[in-house]
Amino acid sequence: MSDRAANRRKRQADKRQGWTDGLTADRLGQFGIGVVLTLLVLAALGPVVSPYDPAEQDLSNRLESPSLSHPFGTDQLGRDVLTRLLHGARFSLGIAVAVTTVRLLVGTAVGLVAGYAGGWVDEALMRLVDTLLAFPGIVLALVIAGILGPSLVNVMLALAVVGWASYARLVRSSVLSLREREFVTTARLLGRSRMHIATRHLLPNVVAPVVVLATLDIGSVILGTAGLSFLGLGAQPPTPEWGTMLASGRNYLRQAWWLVNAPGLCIMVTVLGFNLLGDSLRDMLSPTQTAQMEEL
Amino acid sequence: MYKFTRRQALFGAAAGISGLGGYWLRGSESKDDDTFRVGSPWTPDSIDPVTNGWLWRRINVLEPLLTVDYDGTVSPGLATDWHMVNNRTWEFALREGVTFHDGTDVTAATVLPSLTRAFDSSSMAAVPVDAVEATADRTITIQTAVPFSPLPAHCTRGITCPVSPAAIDDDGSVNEPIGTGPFQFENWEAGSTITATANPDYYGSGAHIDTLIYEGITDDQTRRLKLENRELDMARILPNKAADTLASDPDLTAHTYKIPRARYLVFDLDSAPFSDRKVRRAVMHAIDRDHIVASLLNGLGSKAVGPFPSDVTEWAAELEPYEHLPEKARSLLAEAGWEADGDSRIRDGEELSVSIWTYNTRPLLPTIAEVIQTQLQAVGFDVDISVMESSTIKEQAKNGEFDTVLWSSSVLWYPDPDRLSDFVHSETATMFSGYENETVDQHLEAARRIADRDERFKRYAAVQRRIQRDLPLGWLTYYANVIGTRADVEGYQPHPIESCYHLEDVT
Repeated sequence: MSDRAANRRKRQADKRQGWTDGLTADRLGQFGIGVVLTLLVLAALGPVVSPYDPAEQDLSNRLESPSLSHPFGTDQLGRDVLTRLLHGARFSLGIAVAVTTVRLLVGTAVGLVAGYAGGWVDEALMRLVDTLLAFPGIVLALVIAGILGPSLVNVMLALAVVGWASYARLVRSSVLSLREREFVTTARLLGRSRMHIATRHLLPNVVAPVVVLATLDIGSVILGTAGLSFLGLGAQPPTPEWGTMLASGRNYLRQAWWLVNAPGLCIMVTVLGFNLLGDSLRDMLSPTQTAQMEEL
Repeated sequence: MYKFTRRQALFGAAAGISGLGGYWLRGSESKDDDTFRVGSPWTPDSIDPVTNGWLWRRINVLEPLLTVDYDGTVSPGLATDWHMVNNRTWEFALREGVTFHDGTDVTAATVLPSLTRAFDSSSMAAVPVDAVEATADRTITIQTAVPFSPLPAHCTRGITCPVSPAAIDDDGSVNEPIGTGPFQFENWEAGSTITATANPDYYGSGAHIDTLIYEGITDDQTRRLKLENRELDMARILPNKAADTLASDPDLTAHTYKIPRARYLVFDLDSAPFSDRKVRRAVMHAIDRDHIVASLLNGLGSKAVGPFPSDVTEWAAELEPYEHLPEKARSLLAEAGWEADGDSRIRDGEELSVSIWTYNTRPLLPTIAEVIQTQLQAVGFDVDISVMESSTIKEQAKNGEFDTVLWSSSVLWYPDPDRLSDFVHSETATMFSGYENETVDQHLEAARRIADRDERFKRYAAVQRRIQRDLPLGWLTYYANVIGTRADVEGYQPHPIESCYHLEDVT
């Protein structure tokens, strides 16, 4: 057997290995994407299709168990649980995207400035980031939301305030390694402004890890919102928010299990979906693979 | 780092679900027949009668000078007789042959330190006691600063229960609840349980059970599950809905009975729109209280007319109820200048929007707030709800502007209608409506000075009629308590004011 044939076989084996790896990773990823897309469609269409109003009370139909006309039953005020969950999906997804966007924008900006400016600016910003990271996020969010008073907007604010630090960290470390690379030096020697270098040369190169982090972050923001609402700091009744629904359903645990299980399952599936999606994105965009792609 | 975040997130979700599942996985424990276990929402946090005396009174370890009878009147306790010597002096004759659990005789001298301690405490600041004296071997004399006829009612409160002088340390703190009741203190675990045993030397008929275990279990569902799993013999204050399911279990019995407790709206009289009486009346006419009672309360409890439920106490005056008349509510709002504009109402370019503040330690309150929200929206209010901590509400409502608060409290937790002062007296009210009315103040103050019951009733009836008209508070519903017990528990009789559970009668 010639060396060449052996090499070819080895390459094929490697290829197969890589292919199966990719598939398993992809399968979960596909599941994640499927869940997220389904949710988006349901959130967009569900409230339009549903024959019920999420706030419409029907006290003669309280705590009805799941049936054809109410697939997830009715709650303590006779409202259709499925309709409320669908409206809740809008809140949860909307809030998660909004909060994550704010975190991402603030964190990336801070990270870019700190990493590229260096010196005392870097020092000052990073100590702030350290302080934020040293604190358990949910506890800090609890304190902020508690001080601001109970409302959904305040919960969003609180979650946005505590979450941007990890983006800043991530972006700064990427920028630190990038700023010494030739293409940055070249741009600098060509007389490009700092602003130009930061936005045109550094930013595009940190997008991939930031997007991965953001996708994974969405899940934790959904949990955070639901958690704070469960504790009564977030959405106020009758807003159909998942955490609030979970909290009010808890009082009827023995008579109406669907009041707790339905929003609980929704939260779980959504968070799972976003995490799987984030995982597969990370595998696709991981720095090592990107490096390999550059070498090819 | 990514992985960590994700794991945490997944773990959170999983823990939530398994935590709920855990509710069903409790096993039952074998039970000693001579032990009676009672579960209540309140945790024992102190052994000091001044802080937690009402709880030790409820399980009858401590006894006060006077007690509350099943009809809600003041009856003999450690004092067999009490009377007014002159309009500022009261004499209490102590019962003969009573000893504290440590063997000390109950005499005026041994009771005095506890009484002085209680009346000096800040919780009793509203009771104008000048001096407590031991004037004879078994006579206690209490001097008040002003004539004060509710004094006997205050002497039924757990805070005034005497403990043995040996239980009071030199620095004035209480180290053990050594009382006089049919149960004596054995041990306790702060925040969770109290164990008490039958007092063999009790002067009355004494306890039928050997050991009483009190458990403070905050969560309704847990209390109920513990009863169903036979870990409790009695679970107090269960959700109304539990009454049906308990009745369907042959091994369990549900006792339901009305108590003098009300849910009500407190209006802010100092800020628009509720500074206008017409708007407050509109609210009362817009709310369908029959509907709330029938559906949310499962028919337990009743719709409120005034502060006192007439079927529980004789202090309730005859009052004109606010009927559910949405049309009248609409016309009242229009009269007040709030003109209909589509679904909402506008006055001087401003929308009629109010917020209801409430709290969720009484789980039904937020749900009731949502029903009220819908009913008020039907007549043109724009309503939002804020669920907050009750302490936060108190603080914010006392110091600033609010619209209305949905609150729940006992209206007669010591058996005297002077309780109305806490609601509507311009200076001493603990409720935060900001109500000021000279006539009401005068009646309340006069009623405190008068000894004659009928005369007092006239005054309190006048106050009730006046506030029914002025509506600083809008009475919504009265309460019924649901107590679950094992079916073979006999001798239990629910007490309307619940100052004592009287578990010594239980077999």
